[in-house]
Amino acid sequence: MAKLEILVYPDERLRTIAKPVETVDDRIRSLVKDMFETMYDANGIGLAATQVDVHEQVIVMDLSEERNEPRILINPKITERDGEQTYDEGCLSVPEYYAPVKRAERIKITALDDQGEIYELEADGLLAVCIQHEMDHLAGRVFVDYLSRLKQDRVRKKLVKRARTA
Amino acid sequence: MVIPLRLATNSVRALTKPKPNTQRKPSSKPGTNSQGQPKAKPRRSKTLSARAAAALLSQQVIDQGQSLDRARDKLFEEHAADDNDRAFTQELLYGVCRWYGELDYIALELLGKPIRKKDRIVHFLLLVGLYQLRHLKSAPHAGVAETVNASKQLNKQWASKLLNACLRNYLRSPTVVNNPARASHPDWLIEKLEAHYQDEANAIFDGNNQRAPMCLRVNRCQQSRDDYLEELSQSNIPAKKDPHSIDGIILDQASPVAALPRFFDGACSVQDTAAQLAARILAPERGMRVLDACAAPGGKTAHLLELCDNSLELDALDISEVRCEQLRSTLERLNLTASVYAFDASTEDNWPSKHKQYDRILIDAPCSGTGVIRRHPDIKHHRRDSDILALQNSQHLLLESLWRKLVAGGKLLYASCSILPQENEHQIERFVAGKNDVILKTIHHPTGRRRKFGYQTLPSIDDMDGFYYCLLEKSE
Ligand SMILES: C[S@@+](CC[C@H](N)C(=O)[O-])C[C@H]1O[C@@H](n2cnc3c(N)ncnc32)[C@H](O)[C@@H]1O
Ligand SMILES: [Zn+2]
Repeated sequence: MAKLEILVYPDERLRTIAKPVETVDDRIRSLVKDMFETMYDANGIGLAATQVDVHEQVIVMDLSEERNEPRILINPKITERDGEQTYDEGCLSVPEYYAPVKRAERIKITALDDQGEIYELEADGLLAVCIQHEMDHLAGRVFVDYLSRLKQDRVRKKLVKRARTA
Repeated sequence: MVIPLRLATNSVRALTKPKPNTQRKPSSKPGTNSQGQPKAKPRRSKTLSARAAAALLSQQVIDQGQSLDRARDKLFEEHAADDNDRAFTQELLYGVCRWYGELDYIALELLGKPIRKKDRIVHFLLLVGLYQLRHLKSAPHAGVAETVNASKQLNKQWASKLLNACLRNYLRSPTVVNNPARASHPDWLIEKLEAHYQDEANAIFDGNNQRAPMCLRVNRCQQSRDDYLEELSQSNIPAKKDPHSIDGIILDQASPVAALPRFFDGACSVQDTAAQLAARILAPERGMRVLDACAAPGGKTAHLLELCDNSLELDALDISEVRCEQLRSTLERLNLTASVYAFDASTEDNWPSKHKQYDRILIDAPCSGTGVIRRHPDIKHHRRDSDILALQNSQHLLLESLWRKLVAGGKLLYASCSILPQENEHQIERFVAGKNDVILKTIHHPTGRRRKFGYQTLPSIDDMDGFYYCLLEKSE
């Protein structure tokens, strides 16, 4: 297993649109493993492949406090959405920054698991937020895109400065 | 995605007790509730009975997610009532919040089919009635009559027959509920407590559903405990020494603070026994540099100062400006001095002096509050399983960043009012694993439970709140 490097906003590579996975094979399973290791190490609850500079539709998540409920979403699609909720989000690609984002309250999705089997999932609350956040990454979007220009500029400056002094 | 620190602190704030605001402006939109919807207009008059008030309040707390303290304070401001009425309203409200699972089960059985949503207040009134019959030793028939009467005040006169029938049926053949205290906890909490405490979990469910005694902490700077006990007895307030806290007094019966001798001059504070252990465990000495990182509203801050005759160089932080205001007024009332700052203690920004290190640090972490359910039964209705993860995250960040602020040879006390191992011993285990400069200190105290990491008091032992303490020393 290996820990992967996480791209940091405003890195342009975060804008890449991920391609669907063609076959779920050992290569993908090993990517999934590495992504979990990376996510757990960084205390995240979700990580999209885009964030580790792999541009295929793979997401790993774990919302449990025991860190023992891993979820894998490959080629996820939202089939239904309704309602609205606002949650303070943060992102492993935008360190130490949190801001409220409006998203659908409930969603239904389909996705593949790590055996390539398709499954359906209904989610609300934090789970729904996290799925939408990660799926945004696959589409080249970052949660700060939803904020005002002013706030976006501020985050950008802060992180650019951080990168220089690091 | 990562979960923010702020999320956790927000939800904690919603559950902690706000200071009753004496000059609050009249509510800006009369006739509407917090969601801006028109209220089911109960008569705004002197005559809202304790039962009607308790039904309204329990609906606000349980169905509408309002904090118990806030909902109650607001209603008491809007309705004239004497102290006895208030005390009884409070008894009924706490009772329904505590025993909701049990009472709801009985109510549904009596009703056959649930009451329509728009008449939910009738359901809550039924719970109030059932609570009296089941848990209070009042005359049952008067209780039934009063509950039925209250339906008129709530403009639900149609329900009086129904309520009457349900309550009388109950009296004729009381429903049997299996392990009612357990049934009155949310599933996620039952699961967590049983997984960890196993056979002891039932005693904890019971402890959580008991009434808690009113405990005082004597301000040592002003008088000894014996002297204050004497003053209390002269004021006809029966009380005894707290066997587990040498600064503590337990009142035989709760009393408004205004009735306590010289309360507003700082003679004493209201604080649970378990919370009084913190300052004694950290044991600061005069002149030391001390940091209280999550300090508001200042119960433990004040105790630390009282132990050292107000001679500490104490920085007290809290992330919430509003709560810092409460902290300042606590210190002012008790005539104690500390420097109060409002900022996030887990980041490097904002520190008044960046490189300052402390001899003693207290982290009274934001937590689930699962140890103080007997005092705040609304926690059972508002906490969600998913909050725990966010809280753990905040706790972890606080520990990691504040450890750097401790001098070699200094001591840090990590405390929480949680009884979940995820926020307590697991947290410390994980913290210690990554360090080579941590010495785990043993806490000697003849109550609660010693853990491999730290020490846990429980609501099921010695009638005190559930607190967790772990004392860590930084090696030289
Ligand atoms: C359990 S309460 C403290 C009670 C207090 N020590 C007492 O004895 O009265 C936790 C406090 O931590 C504050 N808090 C939460 N996160 C914080 C942070 N990152 N930095 C500073 N304070 C924080 C909350 O506002 C809350 O007032
Ligand atoms: Zn992200």
